[in-house]
Amino acid sequence: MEIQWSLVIFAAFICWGAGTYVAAVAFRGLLGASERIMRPAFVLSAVAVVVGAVASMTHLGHLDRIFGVLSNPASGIFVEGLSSAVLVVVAAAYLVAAGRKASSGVLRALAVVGVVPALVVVFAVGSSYLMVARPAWDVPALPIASVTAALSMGAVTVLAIDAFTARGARDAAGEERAASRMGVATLALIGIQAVAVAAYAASVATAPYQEASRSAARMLAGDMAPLFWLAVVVLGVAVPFAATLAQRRGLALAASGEAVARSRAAVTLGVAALCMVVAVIAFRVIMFSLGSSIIDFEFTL
Amino acid sequence: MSKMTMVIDLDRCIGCYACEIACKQENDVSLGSYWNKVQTMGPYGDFPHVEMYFLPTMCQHCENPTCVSVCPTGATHQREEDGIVLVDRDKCIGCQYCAMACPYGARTFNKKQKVVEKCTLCAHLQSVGDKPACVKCCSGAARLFGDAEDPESDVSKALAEAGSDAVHSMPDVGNGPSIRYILHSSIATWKELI
Repeated sequence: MEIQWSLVIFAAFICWGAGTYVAAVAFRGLLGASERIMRPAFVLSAVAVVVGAVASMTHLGHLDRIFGVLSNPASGIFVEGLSSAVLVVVAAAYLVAAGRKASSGVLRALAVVGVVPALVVVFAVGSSYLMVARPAWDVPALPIASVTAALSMGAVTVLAIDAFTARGARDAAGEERAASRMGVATLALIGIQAVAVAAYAASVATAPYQEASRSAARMLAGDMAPLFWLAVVVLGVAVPFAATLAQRRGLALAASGEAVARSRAAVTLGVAALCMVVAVIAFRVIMFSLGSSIIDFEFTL
Repeated sequence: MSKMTMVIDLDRCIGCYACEIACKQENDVSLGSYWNKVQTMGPYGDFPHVEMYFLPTMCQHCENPTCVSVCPTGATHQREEDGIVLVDRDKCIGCQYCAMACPYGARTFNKKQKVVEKCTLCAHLQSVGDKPACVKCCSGAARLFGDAEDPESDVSKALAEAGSDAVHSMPDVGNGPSIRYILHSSIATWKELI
């Protein structure tokens, strides 16, 4: 089917924003990341989700009737809209609470609450397309790849934020150990993302009602192949993997006195995060291109 | 509950396209869009054993319509009293998820009104006791309209008379298409579309 650019941009920015939120909370809570990553991560998260939401609204023919979506809570648009709105509100509440010097317990609770809508929305931007009418979409790997893309690009983004703000570190040695743990976790998430992309390709290859327009061959070796290999695989997996390795090398060099190595790694990670946004856009372009229905009467010329 | 539907006797369809035109006129369907379109199937085989037939296509007014379940506003709905699937233009936000969810691509987006449209089985004509425009204009009397739950209706009688081997439908992927096609093998062999 035609590429729905509004929905492509929506998915990419929602994944970026929600993924960054979850990664920041997980790295802070589980891996001992510094509190200084939270504010920039949440600001970026809220802005990205709002940009995505605005993009999705341009897809609608009648934005004036948008509150009608409240009438069907089971629909994908309802779930996406509600969860993204809750995520932005929680992120904003956290930023206000942090600005007012709220206790660490309150901040931690607020941050954890936002993880739920963040995970729901990234799953929903995949599960909304589970339609039996379109075999290349109707595969569990699609929402799974949506979640893994969000988490991996969120992890790389948070690593970049951590590296960019490293000069503000109070306990340099402790934070470098935390950054090292975050690097390992990020490498694992990128690996999982690679597996999810492969699983999506395999799902398309084995989906029912095979047809050339929605074949895996089209994605892996046909007209979609440059986009798949160069954008989804290279920009979405290889570049962030290399950037994360560079972060780990930067940490080692910084420990031996080469402070400039860490700032170089910060720039590399920032570029890698942007590459991953491009990769998600490319993945969605491929998804829409492969999304032919089992029969098309061609009612629109 | 009744189930209003259509039976199209392909043995009788001559491919005149009058139903397409009648539909566009009656429902003011936009230029370049259709709610009802006649497909030419074939010719198949090798001369002199060649066969072809015409297949009028439209919304299949499914028993379990996927377009209804994805609609965020309830604009696309299945009418309780007769099972017809309709779009309430005043509720439609033009998200086009219903068009994505239709297994047959039987919906069209009205770019001027920014809403999704499709065959209504001429619900406005039914409400005054009339039949759909495509049924009324069919020169071969190939189109029948009526209650599939009523054994005395035209559609039920036609299906019973045709015999189960000659009754066909669009591929069912769980949506349960309700439109039935009659095609006897003596006229042509029914071709599955997937």
